[in-house]
Amino acid sequence: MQESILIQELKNGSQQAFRELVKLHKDRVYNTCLGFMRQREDAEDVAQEVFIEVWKSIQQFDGKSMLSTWLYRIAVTKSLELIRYRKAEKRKSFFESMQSSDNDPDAVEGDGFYGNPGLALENKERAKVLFGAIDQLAENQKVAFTLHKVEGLSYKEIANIMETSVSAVESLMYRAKTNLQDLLYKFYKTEEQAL
Amino acid sequence: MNEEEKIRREVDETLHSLDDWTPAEADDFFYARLEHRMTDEGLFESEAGSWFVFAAAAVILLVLANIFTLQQFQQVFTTSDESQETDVAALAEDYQVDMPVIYELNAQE
Repeated sequence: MQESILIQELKNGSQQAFRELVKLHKDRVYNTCLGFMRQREDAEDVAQEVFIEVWKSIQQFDGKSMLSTWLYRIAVTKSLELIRYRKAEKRKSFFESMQSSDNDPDAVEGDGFYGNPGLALENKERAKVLFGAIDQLAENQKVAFTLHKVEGLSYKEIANIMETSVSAVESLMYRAKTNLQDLLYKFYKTEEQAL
Repeated sequence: MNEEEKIRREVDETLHSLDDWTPAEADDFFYARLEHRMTDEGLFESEAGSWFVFAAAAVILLVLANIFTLQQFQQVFTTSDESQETDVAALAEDYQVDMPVIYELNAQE
């Protein structure tokens, strides 16, 4: 089905068109959410919320951008919202249980993402370290880097999603890589000294 | 290899650890779960709901058809005696039931 027809059908409230939309975009939306959330269950929850948001606000979609760009934008926003909420919740419970020494409010639990079959076994530990460092980046650097590395999007596509220029994305990527190098260097240096 | 080189190599390899990563896919039941959630939240019309509407409409239609039929019968039964007689006379005339039968003719003779 052509995108313009699909959008019109969605605006008419067609459940069949919605099913088609989900079929076409579920993998990309899920993968994007997984890149931010790292947990399969969380990624599925957020991906569902993305499609629910599309169903609720399709009347506001003006068609200036592609449907996929709009979907990515919602996926990024919803993922960041949940991450912020989780962090706030963790910080709250962290301060409530200060006695426990092993509580890190920013720690990512579980291994849903690292258990991804698409990730080579020898890279899983490294990916875990990398994502730990990504979590310490500024939000816009984190978004640009994740969309580029996890979703494999071009700088132009990322610029459309983030509603910015390609040069701004290039700058974000440069700063993200530099910061990650510094963070990883510190991490491995500490590890080396601990041995 | 000195410590510095080793750390630099670790950093480089870690930065490229996602390069050969294959995108994850949502499982086959993703839509079914989403549809269920949207039905629960009242965003989608449930199948059971639409069946109920269909069944209710069918029952209402049946009741209306019965009422209409009853009204038609009532009209027939409540017509006046005079008009009933007229109808009977007209029928008798149509079928010539007033013609004397053979027994009546014999009796007259």
